[in-house]
Amino acid sequence: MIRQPLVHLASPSRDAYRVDGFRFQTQDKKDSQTSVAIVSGLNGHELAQMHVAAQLVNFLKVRQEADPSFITGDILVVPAVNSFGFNMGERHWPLDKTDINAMFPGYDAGETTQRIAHQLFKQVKGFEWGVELEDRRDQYDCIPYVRMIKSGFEDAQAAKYFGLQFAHYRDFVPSDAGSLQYNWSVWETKSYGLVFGNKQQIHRDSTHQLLDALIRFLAKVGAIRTQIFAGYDTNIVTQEAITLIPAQHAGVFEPIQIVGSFVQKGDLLGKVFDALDGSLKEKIYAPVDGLVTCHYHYPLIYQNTIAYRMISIG
Amino acid sequence: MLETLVSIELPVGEHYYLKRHRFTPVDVSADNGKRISIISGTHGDELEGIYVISLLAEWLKANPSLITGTIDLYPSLNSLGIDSITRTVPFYQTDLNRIFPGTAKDTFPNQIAAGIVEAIQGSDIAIDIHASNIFLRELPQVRIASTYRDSLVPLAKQLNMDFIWVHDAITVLEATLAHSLNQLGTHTLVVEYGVGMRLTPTYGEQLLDGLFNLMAEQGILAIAPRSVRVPFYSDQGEVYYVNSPAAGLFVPAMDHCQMVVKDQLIGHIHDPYGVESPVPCYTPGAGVLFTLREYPIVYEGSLLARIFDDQKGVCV
Repeated sequence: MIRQPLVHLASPSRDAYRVDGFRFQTQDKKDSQTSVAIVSGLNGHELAQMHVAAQLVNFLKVRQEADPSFITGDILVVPAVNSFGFNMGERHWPLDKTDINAMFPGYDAGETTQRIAHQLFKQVKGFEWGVELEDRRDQYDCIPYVRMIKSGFEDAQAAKYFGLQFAHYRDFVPSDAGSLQYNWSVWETKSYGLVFGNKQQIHRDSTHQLLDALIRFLAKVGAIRTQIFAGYDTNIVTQEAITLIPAQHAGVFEPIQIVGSFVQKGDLLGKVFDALDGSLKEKIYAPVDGLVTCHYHYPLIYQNTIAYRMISIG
Repeated sequence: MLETLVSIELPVGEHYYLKRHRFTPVDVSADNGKRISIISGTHGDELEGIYVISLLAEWLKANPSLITGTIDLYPSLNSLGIDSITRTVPFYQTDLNRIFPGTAKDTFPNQIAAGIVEAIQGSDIAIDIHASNIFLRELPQVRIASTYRDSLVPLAKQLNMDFIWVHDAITVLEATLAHSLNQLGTHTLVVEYGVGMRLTPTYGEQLLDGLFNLMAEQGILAIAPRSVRVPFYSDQGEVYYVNSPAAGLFVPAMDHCQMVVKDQLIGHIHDPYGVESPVPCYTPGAGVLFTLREYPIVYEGSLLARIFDDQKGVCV
């Protein structure tokens, strides 16, 4: 393993800003030589994502030390890009609140976060595969899933290599234009987003699940030599399979069904109570049969906000 | 007439309201059928537009007989942000001007965005007033995506601004209010001036004159057109960007909106500990300094200034 400095920037007063990557490369020319870049923590709330990436670094390091032939490709893991954000609970770049993950491919003569994106992208482009670990930007608890953006360079079938329950295959939207995942695909890297976890929290179960998913992916593409249990036979779903269920009223939200539940049309999903007098304002029911993929996570809910997301197959 | 167009229930005993103040002709037969929407407060830290809209509302209340079209005023789109010094939509930390056209059944910011588009669409003209951010002070200017150059530049020239900046169409800007409205057929101009969290009354009064002129030219007010400035125009020159070469404290050596020559000192970047000597920054070209950094702390890359190389600019 080599620890590589990828980005460096001086600060006005605090410590210098640094982004490090951890590189694992086979020395055997007969190996696959496939290359995978895994980037995490582009925003400072992605604690679970950083932790999974760091656990992956540790796993690869320990296994490589025990067996030098374990690594059969070229793997770069970047656990924390926005380290300044992590260290002060800020999602975005702390000074100007810009989103590093909206600045790719970056610009070396541009603003600070454009320069950070430029320095990082120089190091992570050109890989055959790219995986971005990220949270949802909104307040939802979701089944971990793979996100693919239609770009003309995605490999939808390889999304199954992670072995997660489903992969969301969606159209490009304008806000994707500056994301790492999309720009990877523009530069001909087959890219995926792994979306999981809640903001500013780490859960032991999902850490293990996602770590397994990454190891499974690395094994399937030939970057490591290992045995691992098969995961789910991933369902690739498009927007047509997704049902959004809003809360008609604002108040205190009580989810009844947890994510991962299979429910039938008419099942009770959740309730909304008046925040002040405690009365029941609304019961939310499943409008279709299907799998509960996400529910609103924060106790207070705004009117018309999506309370549940479900997918239906067939 | 003050109207409530969107009402969204908040969790604890409050509503978000999208309100507009609508002015219509007293004499219905004088109505030329045109409708203009004047908008501010998409970003909660931008206050300049609120001042202009309040001045305009006062004038319209005092001169109802001069109104010959429909004038809709929307001073405070992101009202929770404005009342809490928050640029984004509070709680969601979402930039409202990056999620248009929004969707009615989704997150709170998306509902606001969808309500705004629903309210404004159908207007002939919209003026979306912005006030930079807390970092940069801007000369009064109109920004136009090159896609809409032909239809918008003639209107922009009526607005009494100092600079018309036609920029490339950038994909991420497709999620702005201006793009959504222009796509729906409302000629929408983005006005930018001043600095975040502050008021620059002289600039506000300059825009107010421009709004009177535009509405006179469009037949929405029965007044004589005002005499307006001849703006400099980005197609007739080049915009230079000056980004900080170092981290530290930026101390300007020149005033905003100054005419500059090449290699003139803009300011220094000071090392807070004084270990390194101050780093001087110089102008890369001659012209009008139309953007100047207001907030002193900088990293490498922080924007310090923008200069337009045309020599015909007029400053307040």
